[in-house]
Amino acid sequence: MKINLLKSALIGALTFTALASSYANAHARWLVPSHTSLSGDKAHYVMIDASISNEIFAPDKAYRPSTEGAEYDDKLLMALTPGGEQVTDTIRAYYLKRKNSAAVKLEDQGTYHIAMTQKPMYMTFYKNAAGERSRVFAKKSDANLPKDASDITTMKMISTVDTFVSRNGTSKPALLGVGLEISGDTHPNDLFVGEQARFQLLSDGKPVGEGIEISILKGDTRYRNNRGEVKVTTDKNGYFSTTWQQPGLYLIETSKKVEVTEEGVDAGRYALFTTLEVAPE
Amino acid sequence: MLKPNIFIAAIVLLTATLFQSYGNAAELEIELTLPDLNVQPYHRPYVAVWLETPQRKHVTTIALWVEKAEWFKDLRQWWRKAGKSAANFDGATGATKRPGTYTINWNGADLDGKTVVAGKYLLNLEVVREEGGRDYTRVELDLNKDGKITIDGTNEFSQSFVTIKSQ
Repeated sequence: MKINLLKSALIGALTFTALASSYANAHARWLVPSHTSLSGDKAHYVMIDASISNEIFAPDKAYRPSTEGAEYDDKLLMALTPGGEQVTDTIRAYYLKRKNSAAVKLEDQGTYHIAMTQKPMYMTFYKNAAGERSRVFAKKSDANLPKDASDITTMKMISTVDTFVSRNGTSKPALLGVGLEISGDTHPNDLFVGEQARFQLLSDGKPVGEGIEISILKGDTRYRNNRGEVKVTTDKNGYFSTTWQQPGLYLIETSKKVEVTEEGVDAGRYALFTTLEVAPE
Repeated sequence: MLKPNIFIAAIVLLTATLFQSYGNAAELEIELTLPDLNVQPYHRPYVAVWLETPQRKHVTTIALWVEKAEWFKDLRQWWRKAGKSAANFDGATGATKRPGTYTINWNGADLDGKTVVAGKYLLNLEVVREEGGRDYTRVELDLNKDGKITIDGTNEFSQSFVTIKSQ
């Protein structure tokens, strides 16, 4: 009996981990900026598209505005100025069924860090009477689960979906400070084919440790049969490197388990989806 | 209109500055050809010529043929190295040019008038045309040695030459 309990708990834990990581890898979330480098005296606008899709950078599912039935959401996106202040102008992201689009005004010189406003997302995994696994987007306390549900676990996830845009030169991008994000030696708006980029993965503003796998995926996967994902791993200081083979937009994707001490939450995870542009030499 | 003593002083000062700047400097003569492309519409290209250290640090911009600052960023390699500060290019800026062969003379000084120390550098050439293509190349050169380098033509510039006159 004891062994069986242990066994089922173990299987449950394994399945949960598998589900959790497959969730993290299942649907990519991304931003696409109309420009990553701008020059000139007048203030610039940059257009940001946001969507969730498996065909990278081809929009599929938009984020629903927080107000039911609204045509836009002013809180979906946020931007940090080169000085690290949050942009105070309204960033109105229109809900366009398959994507959300917003124009962001850039008035300062340097690099803006543009991101989706980070909100914790709760997922509850369970097994129904027939033994089938399922999941709902709610904490177990709020979830409307079948009466005979078993193996119930709730995961809290915070995703970073971000990109960088520089106006009249680059500056060290301001950090979000929460969740995962890249920092490090190479400027995210100074990427060229044939050159090596070296980034540091941060979690809540601090370097992550060794062994976190990062996927580097070139966009336009719709137009090729092989996704050609490049996988790299962080070193003990959280650094990872890659040498760009082709110009284009890339999605940097990773996730990491985090400790959560929140009532009713069994596991925590951070995910990262960073869009970078690589220029031809 | 100038008073004679001020005029003389100005000439003396100018002469002194010239000697200070050009005294020991190597010089470059860059013969750049922009091809006559049979395309419609044709927009005159933006052109940047600049020197970098072998570690690819911007030393000085030698020539920048441009119109609107809004499109400076399209000279991607030049922009990332020199675009951040107008002091990096203000003295080297000129209007865009029609197809033809142009000679750019560089007097061995950076835009502050300081002689660039003789040694090895990378000469960068970037040409980008609105509704057209972009080409970028860089060649190694040694300001200590006389020589002539041929830069192979691409789509946006034709075969071009760099003559080095060491001191």
